[in-house]
Amino acid sequence: MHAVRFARSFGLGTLLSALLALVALALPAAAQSEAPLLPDFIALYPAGKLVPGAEAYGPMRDDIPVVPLLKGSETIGYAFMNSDLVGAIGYSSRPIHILAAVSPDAVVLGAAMLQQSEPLLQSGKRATTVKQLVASYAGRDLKPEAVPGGTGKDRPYVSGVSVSVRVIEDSIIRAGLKVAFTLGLGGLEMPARPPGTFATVNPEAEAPATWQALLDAGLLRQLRLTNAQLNQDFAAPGQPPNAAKFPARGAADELFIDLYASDISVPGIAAQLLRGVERTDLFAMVEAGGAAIVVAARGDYSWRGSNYRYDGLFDRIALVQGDKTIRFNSRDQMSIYRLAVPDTPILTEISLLAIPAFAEFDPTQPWRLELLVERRMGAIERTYLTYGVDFALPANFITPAVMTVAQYEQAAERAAVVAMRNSVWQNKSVELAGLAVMLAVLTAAFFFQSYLTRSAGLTFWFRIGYLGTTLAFLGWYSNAQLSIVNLMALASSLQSGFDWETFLMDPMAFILWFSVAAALIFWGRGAYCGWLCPFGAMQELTNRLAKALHIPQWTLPWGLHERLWAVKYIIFLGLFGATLTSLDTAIRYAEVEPFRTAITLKFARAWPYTLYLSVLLFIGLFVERFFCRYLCPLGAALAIPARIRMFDWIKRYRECGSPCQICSNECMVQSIHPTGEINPNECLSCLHCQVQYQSKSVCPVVIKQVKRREKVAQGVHAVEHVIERTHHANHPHAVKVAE
Amino acid sequence: MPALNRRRFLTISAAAGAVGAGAFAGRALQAAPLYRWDGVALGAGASITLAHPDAERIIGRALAEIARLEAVFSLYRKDSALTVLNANGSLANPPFELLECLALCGTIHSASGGLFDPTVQPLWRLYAESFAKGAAPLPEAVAAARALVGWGDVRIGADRIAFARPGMGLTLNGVAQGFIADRVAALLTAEGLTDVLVDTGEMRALGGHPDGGAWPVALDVEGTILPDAVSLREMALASSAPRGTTFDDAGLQGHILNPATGAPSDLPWRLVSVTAPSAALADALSSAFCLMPREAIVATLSAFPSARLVYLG
Ligand code: SF4
Ligand code: SF4
Repeated sequence: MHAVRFARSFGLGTLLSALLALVALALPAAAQSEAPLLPDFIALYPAGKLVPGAEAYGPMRDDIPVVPLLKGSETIGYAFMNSDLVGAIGYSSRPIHILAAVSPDAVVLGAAMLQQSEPLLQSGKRATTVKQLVASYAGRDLKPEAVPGGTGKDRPYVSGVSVSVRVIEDSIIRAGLKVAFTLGLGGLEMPARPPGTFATVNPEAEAPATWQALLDAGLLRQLRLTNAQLNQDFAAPGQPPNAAKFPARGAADELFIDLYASDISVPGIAAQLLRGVERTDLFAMVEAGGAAIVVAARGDYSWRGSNYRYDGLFDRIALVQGDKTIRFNSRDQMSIYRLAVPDTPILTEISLLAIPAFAEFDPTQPWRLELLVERRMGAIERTYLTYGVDFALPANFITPAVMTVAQYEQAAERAAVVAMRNSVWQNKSVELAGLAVMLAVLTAAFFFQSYLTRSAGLTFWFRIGYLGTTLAFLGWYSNAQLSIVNLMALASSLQSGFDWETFLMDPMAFILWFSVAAALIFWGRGAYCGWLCPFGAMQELTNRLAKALHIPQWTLPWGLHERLWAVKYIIFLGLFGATLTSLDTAIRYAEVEPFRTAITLKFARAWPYTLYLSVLLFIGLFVERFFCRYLCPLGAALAIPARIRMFDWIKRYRECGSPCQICSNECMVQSIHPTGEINPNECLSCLHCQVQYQSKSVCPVVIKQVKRREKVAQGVHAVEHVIERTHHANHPHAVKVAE
Repeated sequence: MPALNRRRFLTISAAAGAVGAGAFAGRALQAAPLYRWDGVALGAGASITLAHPDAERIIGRALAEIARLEAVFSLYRKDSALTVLNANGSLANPPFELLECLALCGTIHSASGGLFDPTVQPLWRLYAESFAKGAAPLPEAVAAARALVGWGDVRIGADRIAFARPGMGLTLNGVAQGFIADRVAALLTAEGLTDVLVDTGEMRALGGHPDGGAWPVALDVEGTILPDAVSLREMALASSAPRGTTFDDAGLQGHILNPATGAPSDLPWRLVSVTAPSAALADALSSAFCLMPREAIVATLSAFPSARLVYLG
């Protein structure tokens, strides 16, 4: 059990975790993985006591156990427990619980030791001194600590309790840094590297099981320096002549230093070099995104030196990678007694050294561990040499990046768009359901139009009801007014790269457009213009009102009417042409449609727009659907493919037009030529002429037919009478034949 | 108005200059085409020439190393270790490279009888600032600045470098370029390269030219090019032109100051070129020699048998 000696405070905790497990039951405290203690402790310690001026704690964050410190509604800092965030096991092998707070600028605002079991700190003068020491962290700026290795600031000295003091210092600073980096305080930020865009360590790769094989595989690198070699290097030109007069102490062929280095945070390597419990400690020490190296050595020269005992910094080693130099602090060190590989040479200084995530160390890139050798020549003269061990992870230990950052960003963008689209569709569920019902009803009405149109009253009120729904629900409530702008956007996207997503962002328009496209094939533009266009509905309903009030209607002379039709096509083509040059200008011209004013903005717009709309509606009182007939570019766009429709749903008699002009006079948009045929580009499928078509009171053809039938029926009646009399019921088929 | 009238004074690598991209690509024995990077290190033109199939990645590593070392030595960067040392008068836990470089400075300081002295920085600043205002510094000001010069008053330790007196300062311009060339060469050696020419203002040749033979280097003596003046193989070359960079527009006040007199060198040297196994050593020696008469140079060189004076004139 004493195979492991811990320089690092919380390492001990894991070693004794079995014991602790029992103790932990009685304590509110334990390891990092358990529920945060912050809520329990802040309940005991008022915010104002921790940081003067603070009034309350806010709710705990989800990502990290931190609560905001509030002054009124303002967040003046962030409070945390050291023991929630980093190891804080003291000399007692139990955590020293310190509640601390940092400012948005990453300066410690206050700290208080709330619970500890340190044997030497239970009472008396020392206990008070350490309490004061903890409180004295208020004002400590964490930003300078955010360099690998830290500032190496002198640790305060309290006699007899150095372990406790070290744990206090280390845990406050490391926990504070963790908070600062996670919350981005004081400009500290974790480097953001999206997953998959950079090479990573392959956690599956296995390392060989012997020391020699590890060396051969390059998983362990060696720097071997004999005294002779060192003496020679210190005699090289450029070194002070004096240096040769102070040779290394040992014999020439003895080892000055035999140093080994490896990346111990690579799972395959850790699996060979460390025992289970050490691995657990290591993984507790290495934070997400961080790493750790092992440095192990024997020989006369200590790579640790002695300075670290005073300021924490190991001043004889540094890790160099790219343009970064990373130095190590004893707070990020865990010393171990023996490496686990059987044929390990006997090494005297073995340490695991953690590299924090913010150091941006990249385990897949080569690095070099530098060793500074100092030679003292008398009392003050010194000279220096550096040696290095180069380390590069073999290719089979590296999982290459699967995509570039640009690709990742594209994918992320896409995912965001899809997520947004999904939420848009969800938010529109009421509108979509309503639209679905409306479309179903309309389809049914069209399919069974001959039944519907048998009753003039039913057809009329059905239509009024439907148009009302279109205007109020589709238009004002759902803003589902199609517009020529949709088509312009489509055209311009075909030029620049079509993307469904842009169109899926407006679910109502998307569904409507699809329905319109389908309806164009079956019925022409009428399904939309006649039934689903909110502005069309508005014009028709206002005109109905005008008719009900006996406002005289004006029928344009056919010749003029026919010529005015062309205007809307010209407008449409103009807009289309404008789109090809600039979509933005074209969209401004598209204000020829009063839809935004009438439907989306419900008249709440600058006066020129409302005036324009009012004029259109006013004319519409006398000339039904004036705008649809002559001006609407969208109507024009839908009219163009009208002739591709597969069926003629609007039925005609031979007599329509010659001589009968009834339908043609009553068509609300004058789409029936005086010659009788219907212009499919203009017909809005209002079904009025279909009512006439079946009307026994209006349509002369039907009236004639009915009369003829009546005559025939009388004739049949007479014949039946005769048959009945002669055959009784012996030949029932005869009746049918006669019929 | 520029404080310094910087002239082209450094050596020119004739061979490297002739190398166009792929100029040697067709050679049968050439595994990889010769690759040359040109850029800037410590404010001077720099280049690296090598032949390797993965040249771009390797150059990338070398450039990162140059950037890392600039963060130690550059006087133009506000956050470099040297700038911080000069500003604060002390530096805790100094970078290893600074310690190593200062150890060399100490050696050359004693070998040159104190003529090579990185603590001339206060003097240098005084000259640069005075001439920037258009006039030579006043004798009293020079005397005051000279009082701040003193290599013996720099305390060097792995835990701390500190000046004994406030106002002191260090410049490593006479040695850092060479030091960086050595470090880049070490990195390239670790990458397994054998034939490379690193030029960071001073040159360090690893092996010879990939086409065979040594790296031919030309010297530039105040504008006169001496082609193929030096052949470099596994050797470093450093040149100093005392009047190559001058404080005054007339080109009379050279940039290498004598710590003993506080004045620019009064010797007639236009170019001093030295070869040595390390570029840092060659660089420091060539800087020191600018302030020495020929006999003193020869005497100093006897302590450095591996170094050679290849041009003095
Ligand atoms: S012509 Fe235009 S305004 Fe009229 S119904 Fe059709 S789309 Fe609507
Ligand atoms: S009356 Fe007939 S022709 Fe005229 S719009 Fe209605 S359905 Fe079309």
